[in-house]
Amino acid sequence: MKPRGARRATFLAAALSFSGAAWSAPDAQGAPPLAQQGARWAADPAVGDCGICHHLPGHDPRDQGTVGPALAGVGLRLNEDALRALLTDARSVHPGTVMPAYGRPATGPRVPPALRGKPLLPEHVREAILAWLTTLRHG
Amino acid sequence: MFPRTHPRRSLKWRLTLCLALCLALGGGLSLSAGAAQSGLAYLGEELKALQADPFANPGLLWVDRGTALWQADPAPGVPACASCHGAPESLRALIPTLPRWNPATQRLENLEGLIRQCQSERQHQPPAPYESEALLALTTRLAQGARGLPLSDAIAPEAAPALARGEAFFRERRGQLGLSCADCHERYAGARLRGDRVSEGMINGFPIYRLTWQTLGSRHRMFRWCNEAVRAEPYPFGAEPYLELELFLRHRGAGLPLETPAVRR
Repeated sequence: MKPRGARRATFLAAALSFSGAAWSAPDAQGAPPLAQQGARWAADPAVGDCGICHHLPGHDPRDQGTVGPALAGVGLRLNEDALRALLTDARSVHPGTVMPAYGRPATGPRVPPALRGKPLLPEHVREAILAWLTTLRHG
Repeated sequence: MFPRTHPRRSLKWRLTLCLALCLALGGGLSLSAGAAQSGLAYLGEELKALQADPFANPGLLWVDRGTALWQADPAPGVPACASCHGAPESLRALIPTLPRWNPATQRLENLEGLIRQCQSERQHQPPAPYESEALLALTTRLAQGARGLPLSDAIAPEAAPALARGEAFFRERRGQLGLSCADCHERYAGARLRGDRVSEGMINGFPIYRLTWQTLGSRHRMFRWCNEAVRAEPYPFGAEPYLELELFLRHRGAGLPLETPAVRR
């Protein structure tokens, strides 16, 4: 029988471990902190919202988009420069794609004044998502 | 092309990639070449059943309200809609032809605009605001009376430029996301956005009861919602660009039966 203090510490560690597992994206466990942050931002509908179009590994496919390719293994298929170019301005890489330019200032028609000239995602968010994408090496 | 982390691939892998690209470029993902399909076809069985249920369809509350408003005098001594038009079904043939070209005003007019005009000019009352419960109830009741009739493809020759502008609106990319109506509702109709299947953007069920809104909404509310979803500035209700888009969508969906009040996600 463990002393009361030790039991409490064990309980706290388990609780923290559980809350961490629930908060981090399943596929980012064990990844560097920046990539784990990127996984959270990629899945967050208020930030990257990548799951609206792509299947993010570790998430239920029934809640994920099929407009773009599934992201499992994308770190194996494309290197970091290619992924960065796609995140920044996918249409400069694939002119016909519907993927928005996350790193270019918005200049198109009917952009609200408050958003005009601003990219969809700031650079530090794009870099974190990029760090996560490079870890997706299992297809 | 970008350098790949594993440049050496098997012939089978390359052939598979070529085939996938050919299918995608050849329109394998697009349903634009096929016959138009109502948004009903993109719903799950549960929502299809809800729409078809004459007791559970929540849009029928507005049909009941619309019937009452149609028959009630809007003010003492002011004739009700019914006193001039009779039953709402007397306008049944008109509904699938809206929006239409008005030669007198040289403008397009839709159902909301016609009701507001009647309230103002014939009943001498303040017109019901767009998206008000009263206007939604009346439009829903009238469109429900035309249920089953096919959307008309009759376009007055004078409306041809408006039709072309409506199509241009449909295809123009806009907003911070830089997406057009066609990007989602033509090119990727049938694909899933998160968990929901993308419909073809047909307008034959409006006003619709939308679960996302937890209430009923008009065609122009849907246009505004889509514009905001791509972070584009929406136009006001009844604005010319939305009337032109509505005209193009009637043309695009010609032949689809009216199914007001439809239920959508």
